[in-house]
Amino acid sequence: MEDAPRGLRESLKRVAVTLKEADIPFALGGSYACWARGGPEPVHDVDFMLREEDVPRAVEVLAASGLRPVDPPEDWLTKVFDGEVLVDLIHHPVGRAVTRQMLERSSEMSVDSVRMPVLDATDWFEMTLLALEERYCDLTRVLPMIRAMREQVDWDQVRRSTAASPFAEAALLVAARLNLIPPADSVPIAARPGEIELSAAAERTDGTEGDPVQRAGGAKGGRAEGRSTQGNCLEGSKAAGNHRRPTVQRGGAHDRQNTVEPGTDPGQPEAVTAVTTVTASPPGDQAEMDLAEADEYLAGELHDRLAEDPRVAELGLEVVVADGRILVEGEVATDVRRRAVADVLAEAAPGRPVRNEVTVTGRATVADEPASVETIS
Amino acid sequence: MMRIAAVGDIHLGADSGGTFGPVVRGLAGRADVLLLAGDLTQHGLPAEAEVVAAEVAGAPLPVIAVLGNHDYHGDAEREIAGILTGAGVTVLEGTSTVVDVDGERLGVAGVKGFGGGFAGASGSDFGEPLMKAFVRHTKEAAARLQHALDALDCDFRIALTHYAPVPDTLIGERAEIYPFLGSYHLAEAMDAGGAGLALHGHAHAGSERGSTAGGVPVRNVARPVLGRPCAIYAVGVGAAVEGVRMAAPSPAPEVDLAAPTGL
Repeated sequence: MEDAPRGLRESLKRVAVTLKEADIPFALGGSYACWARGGPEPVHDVDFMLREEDVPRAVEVLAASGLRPVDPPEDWLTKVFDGEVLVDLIHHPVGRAVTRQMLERSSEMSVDSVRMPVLDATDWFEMTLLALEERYCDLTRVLPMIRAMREQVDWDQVRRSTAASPFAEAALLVAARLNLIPPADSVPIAARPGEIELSAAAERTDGTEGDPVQRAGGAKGGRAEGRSTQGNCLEGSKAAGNHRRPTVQRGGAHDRQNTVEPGTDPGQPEAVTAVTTVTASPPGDQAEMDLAEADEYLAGELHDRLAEDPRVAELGLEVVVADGRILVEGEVATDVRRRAVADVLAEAAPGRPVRNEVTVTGRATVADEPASVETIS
Repeated sequence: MMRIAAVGDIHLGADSGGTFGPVVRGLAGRADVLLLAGDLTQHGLPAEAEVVAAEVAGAPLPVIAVLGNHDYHGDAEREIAGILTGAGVTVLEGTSTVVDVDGERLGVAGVKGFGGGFAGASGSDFGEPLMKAFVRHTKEAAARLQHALDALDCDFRIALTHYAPVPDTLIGERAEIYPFLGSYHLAEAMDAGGAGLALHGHAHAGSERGSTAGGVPVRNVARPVLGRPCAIYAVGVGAAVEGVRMAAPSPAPEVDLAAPTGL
């Protein structure tokens, strides 16, 4: 069993080299493609993606080099054995034909010292997520793969192409909530360069203040991280130089998808309490914010407002803005401050629905606590 | 054996009167000294420091504090230190103090500290003046801490900081912000200065327990991390033997991560 991965890799390389020498277009797929891109090493199955019309010739050259073809009942792949190792030659993964474009999008990578085309990470996730179904929807296996490959993937494209699958949607939701990938409402920064204006940042007087900035980062959670990941994705694609994705096709769709009018709430249901209370006219430096900003900046600025406004003055509150809705969580010392949180947010971002999940810190004293002394030896 | 009560990041505001006093008074007979690991105020306002002073005035045990970044926010850190000192608090910044506990001498060296990051992912004293100033501030803080530790003549040394000396106690925070939460230079100073225990705050979402490379136990006593009014540590000669009430340190970091929700 310990030798299994080694045996699998040897077979993988043997098949890849044979197909390369025969000039048959292919791409490494399945869990080994994930492995090649940084994911966990699989312990069974080696998958190659080929166009259906190339399969007979592939089987022919592989058989000629000593592999044993098997004709399985499935109509979306065929199999060859290399000794004990089973190699899948897949031409219709998740019911979709492998196309020349898909193979062209793959990246030439070194896989265990052999260079071969590896399925594009975005294509890979489309297939992987679409393969989730009622009897196989174990995210425990999917999440490490998302972690491993997240910056290589165009998640908006994955969302679009897997939109019909509730299992894919669930996986992407979990990944977004874990801050692994950008949230669904993500608007790429680059798409609207003119809109980014850190008005509140300029007002900040203390540049050395650590917490607000940091906590803003924390508060934005996946927003910030997601975005930078997306940025990395683009950078990465460029850097890799192997992404031969037809950018017109995908980029076009991408742009359309994200051309949301700045500031418009994209039709979100008012499922949460709208806070309309405005207790006082905003003082000069606490004026309404530029609501056209991206959610992550809004979250950061609202976080800072909560820190800086003396009525709240809490740096530890977590502000998340998604789809124009504001969620604030954390702990404040008094109920007055808890209520002031809503006031400050209402003044800073009028009309935005706010969910105030802030709690009031308990006032236990030491005497109330059971004796708990740690001995440092 | 000496019993150290410690908490950081109590963040008292002008409206916080009466919230911390009961904690302090409740320590009578339970601890020999109370250490405050910075961020005593919310905005670094003298008025807030007055609230802190009122809460700890007449404390039944010595109170020793360092300031945190919040206490610097209003550019009134000296005034704040003065107000606290007036209430009987020993405020440390690159300095140390010795408390006599039943004949044993407990030494505490304190410094606010600063960020900069941890070995392998830290800022360098290089480039723009602001960047150099940032890293130099950290290095200076670490140097002052080591100097303060070196100056101590005592039976047990505690290093008290606001910023974290190790990343262990930051687990739960986003890794991206570690360089803003502490610096390994502080840990270097603690190791070199022979600290027996290091206490810090600042990282609200971090976890309680860690250790420096040199084996100094590190505890993040930020109030949200503790999830209780303060921590109590038994230290000193024979502590391991006498610490019968000790709560077994949990080896599972999940415990620490799960306790504080929010900040």
